[in-house]
Amino acid sequence: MNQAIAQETNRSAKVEVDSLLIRAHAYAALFALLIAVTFGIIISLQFIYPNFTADWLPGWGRMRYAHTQGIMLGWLGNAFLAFMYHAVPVLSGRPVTSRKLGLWLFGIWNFAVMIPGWILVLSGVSQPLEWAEFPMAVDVFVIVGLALAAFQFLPPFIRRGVTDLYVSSWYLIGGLVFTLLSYPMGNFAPEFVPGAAGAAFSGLWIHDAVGLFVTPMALAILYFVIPASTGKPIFSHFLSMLGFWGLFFLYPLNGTHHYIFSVIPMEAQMTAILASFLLGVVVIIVVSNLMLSQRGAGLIPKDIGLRFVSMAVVFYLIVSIQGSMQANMSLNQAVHFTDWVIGHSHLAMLGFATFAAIGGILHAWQRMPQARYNAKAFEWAYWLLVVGISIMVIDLTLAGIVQGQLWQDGSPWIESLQASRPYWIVRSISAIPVATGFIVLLIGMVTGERGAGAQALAASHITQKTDSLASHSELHTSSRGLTMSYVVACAAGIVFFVLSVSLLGLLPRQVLEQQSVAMAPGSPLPYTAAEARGRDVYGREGCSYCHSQQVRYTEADIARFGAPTLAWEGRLEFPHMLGTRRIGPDLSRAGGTRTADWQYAHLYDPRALVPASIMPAYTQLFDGSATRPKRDAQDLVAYIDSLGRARELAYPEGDEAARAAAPDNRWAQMSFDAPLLNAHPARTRMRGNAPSLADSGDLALGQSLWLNNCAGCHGDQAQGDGVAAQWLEPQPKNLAVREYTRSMLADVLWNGVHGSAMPAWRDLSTAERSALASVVQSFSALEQEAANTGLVASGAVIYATHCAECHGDNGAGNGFAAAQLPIAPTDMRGVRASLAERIKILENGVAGTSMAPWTDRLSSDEINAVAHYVGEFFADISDRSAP
Amino acid sequence: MITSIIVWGSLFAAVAFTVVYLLSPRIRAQVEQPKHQFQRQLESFDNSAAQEPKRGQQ
Repeated sequence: MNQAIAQETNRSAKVEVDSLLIRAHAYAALFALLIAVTFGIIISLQFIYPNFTADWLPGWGRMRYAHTQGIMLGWLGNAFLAFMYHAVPVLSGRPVTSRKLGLWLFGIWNFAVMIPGWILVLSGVSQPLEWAEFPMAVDVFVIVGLALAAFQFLPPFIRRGVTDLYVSSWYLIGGLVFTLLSYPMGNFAPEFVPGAAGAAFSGLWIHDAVGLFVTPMALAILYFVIPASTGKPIFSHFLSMLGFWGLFFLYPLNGTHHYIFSVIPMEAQMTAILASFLLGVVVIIVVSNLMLSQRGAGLIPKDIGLRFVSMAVVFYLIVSIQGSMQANMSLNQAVHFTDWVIGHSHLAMLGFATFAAIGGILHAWQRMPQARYNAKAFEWAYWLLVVGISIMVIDLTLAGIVQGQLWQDGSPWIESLQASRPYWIVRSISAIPVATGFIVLLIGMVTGERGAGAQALAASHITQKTDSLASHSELHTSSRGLTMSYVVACAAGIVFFVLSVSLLGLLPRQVLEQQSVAMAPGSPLPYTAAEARGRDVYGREGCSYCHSQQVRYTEADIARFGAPTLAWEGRLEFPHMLGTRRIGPDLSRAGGTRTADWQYAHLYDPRALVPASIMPAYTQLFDGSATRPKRDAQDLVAYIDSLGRARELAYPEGDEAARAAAPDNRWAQMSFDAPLLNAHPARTRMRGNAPSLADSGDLALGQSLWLNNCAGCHGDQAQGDGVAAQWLEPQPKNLAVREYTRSMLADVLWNGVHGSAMPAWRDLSTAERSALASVVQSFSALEQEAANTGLVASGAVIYATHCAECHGDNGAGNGFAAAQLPIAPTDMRGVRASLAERIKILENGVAGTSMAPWTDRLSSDEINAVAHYVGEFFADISDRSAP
Repeated sequence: MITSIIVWGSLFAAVAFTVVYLLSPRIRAQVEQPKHQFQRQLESFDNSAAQEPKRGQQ
């Protein structure tokens, strides 16, 4: 046998493993996991009971930050470190650099990263970037931690040399090096590169976090535990290396597939789509090799470490194929932003990576004589986790399909929430076995006999270990050529990483900058100080986890939200808020869509306005009432009202100039060709051009629509006394003391009442609006008024003198001053209030409108006369046109 | 164009590696050697741990 091989083998026999650090990181990992899962459970319950944590816990978004960072850095980071303290000495035949360094690394990772990171994001100091939520101050310590990990684990491999390096070693080295390279890029670059260009870097990191940190570490575990537990070498080292290089070349090129159909240049998107497809092929090679390596172990291996790892292989296959499919443009169009993606990420992090990490920890645990080991508990943990995660992922995937379908067919947004509710309930229920499984796992590691792991290990070995020493003693040491080819491949890996940053980060940035310069209007407005502060509030509360800020270049998005987002529209976004999930609607054109009083009321008590809403209530931004917003709420509303404003102000001349500046940019032309710049269905517009309604509507349907959409403001019986009425100005109308013509209702439901909180309802079908109109008419309790020709005649004279300038000669609300008013005067041809109500309006005015009280200018007789006169205007006007 | 380079470059590298692996028994043995070497290391570590149960507790 070759002497060098014998030496290496001998080294592994003598090498010492630092079990103190394994235990420290393993316990830290499990505690972090339980904390992160607790955050996950709380935020999942808020989908079902949105108010249940309103006052006594941090906001939903903040806990979502704590959840994802806890899983990635707290749980998986610690678990991988624990495994490396066992694996690196065995793989390299040399101890890790030093225990002292290990204690520093443990301290920094947990006491300078995790605990401060959680405290900061929960108290509102964060970075609104997916998988990069800890603030930059904490990122510095993450990088220090990664650098210490590199100093701790790479020297043993360097001292050993790359000759005959086993695939797990390659993955550990690759994971440590590439995470150190990609973490700063993904966590810092978006803070300095605006909008979509920053998102391009974010996209890279989102995928690198999974592809260059989680996946290599998890695969290192799989390739380590499988041969160790089966007692047989893996099926093919060739295939494993083919997979290794394939993954490291292709993973970094995947990132932009998180922003397909965005304004990021199509060349970058296509590169990511293609790399995603090729990655699927590579994963099939990797998984085939891993499955073949388990031959003889059975479907459910006896060895508990191998059992977890075996399940991780299955999850890895599914999640990777799913990932490749999601990058396909047809599927992406339908499922992007939906719970399908959330199911996918849970399958990756809680399925594949978590099962691999548990497998790795238990494998090491079995080999620590002083460790407690409760085999029964591990068995239970395995089954609880398999069942829980499977239910969760299947459920979320189905939810995503349902949501995508509803979004594609243009249904009102709220329907996607209502349809999702059963799935969200199941998702929360699935957390019971998942959380229990993790608790039982921890119990298994702190109960049972010390050293019982070794007994379990002996009992579970399914094959007699071959005498590898003898059977392969004739093998040669590797040729210089093969070693060199690996070195070249290492260099190529770095080149591909640089290529990915260049192709998918730097190059798109340059293209997007050119587009911005060419297409931006002359001097777009910057944010005011309040808007800039509001943006910080928006980021810190995690609003972008539910509301994207990018209208994609898809038909469904154009129909629902309007013209797709151009590059220059994100020029002030440091960091970007493009988002990767839509629980609520996109907000890139939110400016001018709702009034400030509606926004305040909605932030304070979302369900008062939208009963089916699941948005958290942000009561902490108010001083006890929606009418008393604190500065944070005022800033936030100012920011929301600025979204889309720059393009709207420049429209349509700005779009035409930009169209001329980029005649060959097919995607930009698609944005200019959109029929509406802002197609938000609730956006109010001036009167006119409303489609006619049917003469009658389905009252049952209308009643249901009323309760879901109108009662919050107008009240159940339409008396203008809904919960939200107290916060709105002008207050919602009391419909019981009014009667409306059908054409007036058609107009109001189609256009809303511009300047008031009454939105348009363009996402309702004609049948639904007809049904709603019928219900509104049914609320009217007005009786026929007796004619009083004398009062009418005198009222006409007073009206002509005092009222016609706003309301017009015939009460149509089109007087010469009407155009100057923020809320158009009532068109009294389409609505008639009761005589008492008309008098009340004349005496008190209408708060929040230009209608002033008239008691200081008109006597009560004159008011009475005018009230009689204006009642005469009421008549159905079938052909309404804007004044 | 860049996309094509990535596709063809990756495929070429994979195919070249595969062809060399299939055609050269010596390379094949060398490429597969780490898994046997690792197996020996694993066995050696486990056997040694079984003989010296206190080893590994630094």
